[in-house]
Amino acid sequence: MTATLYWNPNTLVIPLGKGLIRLFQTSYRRNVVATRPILDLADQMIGGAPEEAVRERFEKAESALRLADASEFTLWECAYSNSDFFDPSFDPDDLQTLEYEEFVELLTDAQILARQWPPVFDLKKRSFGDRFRGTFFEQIGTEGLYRRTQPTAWWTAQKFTEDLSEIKPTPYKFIEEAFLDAYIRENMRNLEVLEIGCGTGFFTRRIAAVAKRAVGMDSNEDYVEKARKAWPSERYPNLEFHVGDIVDLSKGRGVFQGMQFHRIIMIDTFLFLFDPSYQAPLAQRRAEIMRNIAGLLRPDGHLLIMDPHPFWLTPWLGLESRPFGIVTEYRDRSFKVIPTLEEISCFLFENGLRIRRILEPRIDERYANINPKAHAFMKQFPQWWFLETEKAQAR
Amino acid sequence: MIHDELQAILREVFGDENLEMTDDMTAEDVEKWDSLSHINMIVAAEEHFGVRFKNSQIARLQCVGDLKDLIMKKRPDLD
Repeated sequence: MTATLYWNPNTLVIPLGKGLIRLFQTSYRRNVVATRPILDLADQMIGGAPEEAVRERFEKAESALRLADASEFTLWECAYSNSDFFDPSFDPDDLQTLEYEEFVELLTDAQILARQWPPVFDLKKRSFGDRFRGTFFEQIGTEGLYRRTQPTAWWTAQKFTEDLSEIKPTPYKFIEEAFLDAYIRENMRNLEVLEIGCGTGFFTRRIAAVAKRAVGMDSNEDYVEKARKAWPSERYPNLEFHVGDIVDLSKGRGVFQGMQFHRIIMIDTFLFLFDPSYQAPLAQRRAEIMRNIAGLLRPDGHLLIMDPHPFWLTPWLGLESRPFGIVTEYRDRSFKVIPTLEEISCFLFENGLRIRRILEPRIDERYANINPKAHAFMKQFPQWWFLETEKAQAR
Repeated sequence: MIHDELQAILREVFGDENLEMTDDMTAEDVEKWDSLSHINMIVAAEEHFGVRFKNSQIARLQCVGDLKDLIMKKRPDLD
């Protein structure tokens, strides 16, 4: 029996000019660049072709067919930068004439070719070193291994300047910070506010500038230590940071037991209640977590959630004046791990909270000078949403 | 002996002073062996043996024996 090779139609074929073709596997975010004869081979393998016939055509192309793997985990520099994993350092000189076996290995590894129909979709990581598989956060972990960096160190380094006093000029600054600064100023004056998952305390400090009292909670002792060092309570008397476990408030010194706040805010944290792969206890025990949060909230209080939008990490293409994104998942998630709006609203409802408003923060125009393509996409497609919720009996 | 030195590294990284290292040992067998401590293990092994692994070599590691073989290949003087 002869083997059959199938072209995976989830591959976008994008001309780069000068006879080069980029093959972009949208579900796996893999990129291969090839010369024109790849189009003949693709044409042949649509719907399946016997391996001997593919080999014959491959060998006929001889040195006219050259290829290179052009996948790179570009999100390492900033989680909101280009998310199609196309290697920015790709150079046409990287293209090589391959042996037939190498050619098939490269394209099957990139899931552009499949040996069965329909191609099996499986993004699960097989080992710690398995690159380009797993959720976004698992892929960050693998990059950490390759770069000998702990993901927590990566997180702070891609988001903040070294002294933690400023956000780097990324969408974090031009969407998240721009929105939160205005929201905090307009909505938190003279209130008592708790930030759950405060990290190194950047926004807790901003809250303290207008609020009566700002409290930051994080389970990571290193983060809390950094926050206390950056913003010591001697200089900021209404600002405090504590190590706390939202799953079990009695843990540590139990400082949060008995506290109540006008506002509780979770920034880029709430989504982890729905991600079983990263910090599993948060997902497994999310009902208890919501009970704890509700207990920390005054009867007239609001829980505020700022989370990545389902458009986050969507690869973008097209004109700057009319960009488009490639959405490959929503309900059944393998990469982005963002809960659907239905899951969020039902979960809140089951736990006695209801949504007041959903805001979709806009990008500051100044970002257009820094990354025009990303700016154009993010202007059209929100990257975060912000949910204002209240206790259901409040009205 | 690479075995004893690597075992000492694993005991330190995974916080288990009674850990008995075997060649077929994997993350499944050690409670504190997760993706974060895996990074620490690689970094500690590289520092201790004065070697630097390639990404492709790290990607292929399946068990402790693979790591030991890799170190032996880079430091043939040790055995």
